[in-house]
Amino acid sequence: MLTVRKLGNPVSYYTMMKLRTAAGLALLLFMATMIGGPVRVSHAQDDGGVTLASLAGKFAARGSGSLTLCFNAGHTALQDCATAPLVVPYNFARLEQETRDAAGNSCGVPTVTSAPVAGTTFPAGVSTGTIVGTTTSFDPTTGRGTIGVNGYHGGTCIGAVFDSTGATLTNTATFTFLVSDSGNRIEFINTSASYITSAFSVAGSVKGLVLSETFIRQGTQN
Amino acid sequence: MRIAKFALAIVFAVVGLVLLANQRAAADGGIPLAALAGNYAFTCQGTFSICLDSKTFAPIDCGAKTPLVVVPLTDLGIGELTRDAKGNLCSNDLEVVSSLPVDNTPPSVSPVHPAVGITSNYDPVTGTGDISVIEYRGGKCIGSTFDSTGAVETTTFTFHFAVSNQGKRIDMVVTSAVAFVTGTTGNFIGDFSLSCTNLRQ
Repeated sequence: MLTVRKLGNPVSYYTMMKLRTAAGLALLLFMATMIGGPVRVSHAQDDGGVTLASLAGKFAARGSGSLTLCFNAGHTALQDCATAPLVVPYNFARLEQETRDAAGNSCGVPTVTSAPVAGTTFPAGVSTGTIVGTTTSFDPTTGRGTIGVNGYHGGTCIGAVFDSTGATLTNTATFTFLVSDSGNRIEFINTSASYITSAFSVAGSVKGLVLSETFIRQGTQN
Repeated sequence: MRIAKFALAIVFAVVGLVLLANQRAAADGGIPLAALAGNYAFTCQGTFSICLDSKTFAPIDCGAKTPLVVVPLTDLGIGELTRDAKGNLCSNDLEVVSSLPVDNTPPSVSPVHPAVGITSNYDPVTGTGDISVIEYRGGKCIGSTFDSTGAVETTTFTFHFAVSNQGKRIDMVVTSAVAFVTGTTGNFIGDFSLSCTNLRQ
């Protein structure tokens, strides 16, 4: 029947073929439009890993860890651990929202609750601040990188840009990070931390910091 | 016929572009509170301390002047919750609490108990906000609403939270905790360091 139709009405046959081809092309165009963004990233991963630029965007993070704070004898002020008579281990949990740009710069706002490991009758201390980061190295093949951060009391984030109005630098730190899930997840581990004497911090008063944090992309990749 | 084919191609392309534009708008414009409605599984972990009367070992207000002992504990919790489009939620939670450091006593396993939450503020641009939660002994969740029949308030919490994975994940950190000693007065929770993760079911 099909052969007869083809021979009997060649114009109709070629029209149908063209229509099918056009419909197929249109469907491909539709699919490509739908998955264009992710396809771009996937190609980057297939060929050479996740690019630093592909990590741009907004992320939310949760982390936890422990540290030791050193106090004066009256337990009224922080003191350099080299001379402090009172050493108190703490657990802490933190939540952070940050924005990263294509060059690996970031600005984030953490909320941290900390409590002495031994327990106290007092409520947990809740603090916020601003964390400004600069990616110092990144290997797109392994997805591993390092970042240096400055911690501030005050200041604000405008996207990935830091507005330092009213900000006081309290600490610096370095992290190693690893990217996964096509650039939608980043694991961080703290590798160093140093506190600076200021109105809100005392040099040498924080030791033994252990912190890991997981960042999850909030929306979709651009 | 050619016009029909061309129109078909354009329709597919336009629909695709519109849908993609919506996805990118979600990335740029944030995640609306209503988009968080749905069912979630959650886990919580961390440490907290409780205050006990030094003679009776009954819970006592941590601000009490009478002699008390402070007991540090670790906490693991698991449960499910339903959230509506306005950020109201109802959850069922089970927790396992053990001494810190661990010792030769078994952990305490709580009965499954409901909790009711209200989102007090939310910024869709940053995907961050705060929730006030009341835990109960008794009562039951019916979706995101709470049937308070027989329910007694036991604990209140506030959480700061951040949304990720296009609204499929919510990370939270506890910013205040009050466990009532008598009725809805007093507080036998001292310090704490607790955080949770909600994953959409």
